Amino acid sequence: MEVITTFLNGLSLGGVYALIALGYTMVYGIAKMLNFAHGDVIMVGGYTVMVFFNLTGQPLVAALIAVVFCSLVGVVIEKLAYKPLRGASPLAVLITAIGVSYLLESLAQIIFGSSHKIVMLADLGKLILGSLVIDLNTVVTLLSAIAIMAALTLFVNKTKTGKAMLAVSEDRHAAELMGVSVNKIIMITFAIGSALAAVAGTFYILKTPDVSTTMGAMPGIKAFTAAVIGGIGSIPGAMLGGILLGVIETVCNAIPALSNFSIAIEFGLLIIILLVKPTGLLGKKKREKV
Amino acid sequence: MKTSIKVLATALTASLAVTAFAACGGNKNYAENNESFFIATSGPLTGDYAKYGLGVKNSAELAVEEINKVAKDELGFTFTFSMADDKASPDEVNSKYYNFYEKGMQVSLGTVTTGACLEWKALATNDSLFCITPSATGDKVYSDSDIMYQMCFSDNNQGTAAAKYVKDSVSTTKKVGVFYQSDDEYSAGIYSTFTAEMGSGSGYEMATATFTKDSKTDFASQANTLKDCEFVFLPIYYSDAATFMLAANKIDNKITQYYGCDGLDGIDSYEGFDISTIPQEISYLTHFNSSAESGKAKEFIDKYVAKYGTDTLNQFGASAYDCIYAIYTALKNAKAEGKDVKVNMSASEACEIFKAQFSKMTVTDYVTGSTIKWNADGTVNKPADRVVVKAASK
Repeated sequence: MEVITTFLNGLSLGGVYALIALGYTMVYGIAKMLNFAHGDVIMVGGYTVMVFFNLTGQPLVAALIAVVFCSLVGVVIEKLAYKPLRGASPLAVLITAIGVSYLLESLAQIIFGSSHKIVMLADLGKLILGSLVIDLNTVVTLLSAIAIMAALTLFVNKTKTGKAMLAVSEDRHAAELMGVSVNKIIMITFAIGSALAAVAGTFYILKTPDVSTTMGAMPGIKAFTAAVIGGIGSIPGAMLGGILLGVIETVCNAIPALSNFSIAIEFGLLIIILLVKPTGLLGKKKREKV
Repeated sequence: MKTSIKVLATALTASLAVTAFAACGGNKNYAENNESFFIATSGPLTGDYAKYGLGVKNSAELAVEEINKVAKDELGFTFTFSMADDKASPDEVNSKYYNFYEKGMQVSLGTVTTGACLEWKALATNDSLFCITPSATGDKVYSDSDIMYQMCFSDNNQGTAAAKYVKDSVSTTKKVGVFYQSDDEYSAGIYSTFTAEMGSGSGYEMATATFTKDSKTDFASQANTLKDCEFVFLPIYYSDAATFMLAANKIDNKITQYYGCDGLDGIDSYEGFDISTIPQEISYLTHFNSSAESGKAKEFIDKYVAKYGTDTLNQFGASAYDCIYAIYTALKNAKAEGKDVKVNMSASEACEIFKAQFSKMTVTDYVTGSTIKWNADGTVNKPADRVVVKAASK
């Protein structure tokens, strides 16, 4: 039974990583940039949830406000920091993203102080199936993550905006010639990615109710790793990578002899996968004409 | 072009050499123009452990303010205290140290956290600067050094005291769990002493779960590992301990008691953490009772709360308050013995005075101990209490 509980915990943590990884992978796939400030948008989402949960006492309302607010933050970041660098070297964009990351952390510290805060969003209780006791928060996190991923996949494949996103990710210039507004698509991508970060932040607080200015840093790095494992730019790849990383981390933490090495094992997996399949598990090889 | 490059390279080399020699300090007395005796330190004023650093800063300033009302008459000079933010990171210490040293720092509180303190110790040893730390508990802080003293208990002390508590108070029929941070000097140090003191043939069934700085995204697995333990020892900081307790609350468990060391100080005032939702007893080892109803501790609490509120009131601050008074007492004792105690003496001259005094003096009626003296290795010798911050409700 403990194995099942651990596995479910892993799936649920993996769901959170997958949601964050989706943000990374969408932005990379469409804007061709690594948004290292993405982890800090999770933190913005965490604080927004905290503020509005304290005000309203309603976790769902707080989460919805966080989704809207983070989308706006994502759009503002894109407009002010990244749009002026369109066409600049990838290194300049990367450094700017790191700068945005520190800016967000510093702003949060000025506003909320440096102390950690506990936010008890909701305790949904336990599901008892014979001798198996499952935390319902875990189940809700897992099911919601799966539902959001499915909705996102449908959105990208079935809607006009989603297809425009795919077009921009395939060939930005050709898409522009076909009448797609690349700037608008990139802006929408940032809005969706940041909204997903807010959702991930909410689920993360459900699992670990500790809100701090650095709360997004490590999940952000792990989710980026998940996106690379799955194949950066690939939505199913981000899901697969996130789930895989979450399960591995949770299983390692459950085995005392391995718990000290969980991070090493996760990143070791990244190295092995990149050696065997450099494009990631579900990444596609691209032929370049020379 | 080549000539200009050579000139530039020579100039750069010369400036680097000058800077390097300046940084070494040499025998220069940077305090020769001091108009007040300069005490300085660094500590986390921002970041995860800011609560500890701010407690130290506020308390030290409070003590200096009080002492300055009488110091002019008793010593002929007053004191100045300054503290810089090191974010509890050793990487931040070097620049903070030299900034203070070159401004005439004469004695130091040797930083707040162990990792940063070890870096500070290396620099202070080079300059013969005396340090008494309020809260850097690591055993490496005082080992192999005659300039490092502690006002707090060492990790060794805390691990030993925790093992003694278990052996004295916890039945051998109970399973004992330990949850610690394996990549943290403080946590791993206490764990190491604790397990050594418990011994392999202690009769207790034991279980261990660990985490690292980078793997603390979810404690569900570790809570599951320790769910059958009745007594859980938590030699970790309060924010992680609270997260662990909440994770354990989500599963059926047999835990009846949580016990920690000084890192658990502050758990009862952790913002958003409703300690009453934890059904287990929560207690920790401390030298400062923040609920004291009488004595020096009560006086300190009243003064601190009136000035700074309760948010950063903790044993780290209480210890810093005592550090400042111990420095003052050492200087007074030295003067009474006829030593040349001057406001502008160098750090190394002051160091000799402090070493001589701390190795023999006993102070009484302090906030963190009714009687405090120091062992030859710099560790403190004073009684410790177990404070129960939450009674069991299951």
